[in-house]
Amino acid sequence: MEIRVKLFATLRLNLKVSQVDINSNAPISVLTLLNLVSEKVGSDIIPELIDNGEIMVGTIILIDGFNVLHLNKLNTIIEKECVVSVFPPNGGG
Amino acid sequence: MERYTRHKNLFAEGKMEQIQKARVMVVGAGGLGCTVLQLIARLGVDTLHVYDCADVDLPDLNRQILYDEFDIGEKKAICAARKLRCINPNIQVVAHTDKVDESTLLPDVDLVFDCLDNFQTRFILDRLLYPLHIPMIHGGVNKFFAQVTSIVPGQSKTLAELFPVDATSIDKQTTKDIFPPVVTITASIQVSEGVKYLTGQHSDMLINKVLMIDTFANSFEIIDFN
Repeated sequence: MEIRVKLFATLRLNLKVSQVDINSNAPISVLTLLNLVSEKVGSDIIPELIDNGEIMVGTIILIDGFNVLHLNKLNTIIEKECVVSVFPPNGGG
Repeated sequence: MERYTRHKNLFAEGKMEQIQKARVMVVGAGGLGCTVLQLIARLGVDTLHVYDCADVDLPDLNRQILYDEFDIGEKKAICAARKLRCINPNIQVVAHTDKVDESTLLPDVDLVFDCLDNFQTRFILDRLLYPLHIPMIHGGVNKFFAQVTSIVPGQSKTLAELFPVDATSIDKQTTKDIFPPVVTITASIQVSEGVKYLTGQHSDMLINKVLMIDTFANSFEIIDFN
């Protein structure tokens, strides 16, 4: 299955990447997915997104529009092709 | 020549009248607010309520297009109202210089634009408006990036449900660095959403969808929320 990971807003500036496609033959967790993204882009994106094993406060991770906070957070299992969107909402006016 | 000749024919019969009857509230008369206010005033609503408790400051002038150097030190809401009355004397403009909080008594309006600069007050506004069934068009900017979504009670989630984040942490992450063009682009899309609401084109709105704007990469992408 192919999983498309899209990074938005200031994450793009910090991580220097806007989109990564990951192929996996087996179901994987969100945490594993993010580690695979790090491997693929050649830099560790985990410190930008995770703090003390939790999704960083202010970061939103959606799997096909479903917020992983309402699923099983970083342990949410991805079992089929999907789009994962990661972003911090922009707060200024 | 009539004032609204250049846009009234764009709408189906009776829709321009709906715009002209509308009572609109804009919360925040900063970067987003200045453009939203100006466009809404030029479109020709009935009443425009402007909320902002801050004064015009020199660094505001890079993007807050209603103000100039002579306005520095004046309350934004009062200054904006004065400018808007010059732009369109046919509409009523009411300035509010008090900060929006849980105790704010909202005026009777049909539509609200969230042009605030912090999520703490946005979530207060969200809590005040949703039970009253008043829609809110949200815009937020940071650096080269922005998002727009429309909160329509009964049709969409609340802002807090879409963005279940700690408001304080987001506000801390938001820098004061803002690329001026992203502000006017975002505000213009907010107004477009507002017009769709007022003219009944709800199916074309960003309801349970967030438009992510990236002026750095020239990318506009809609994320669907489930």
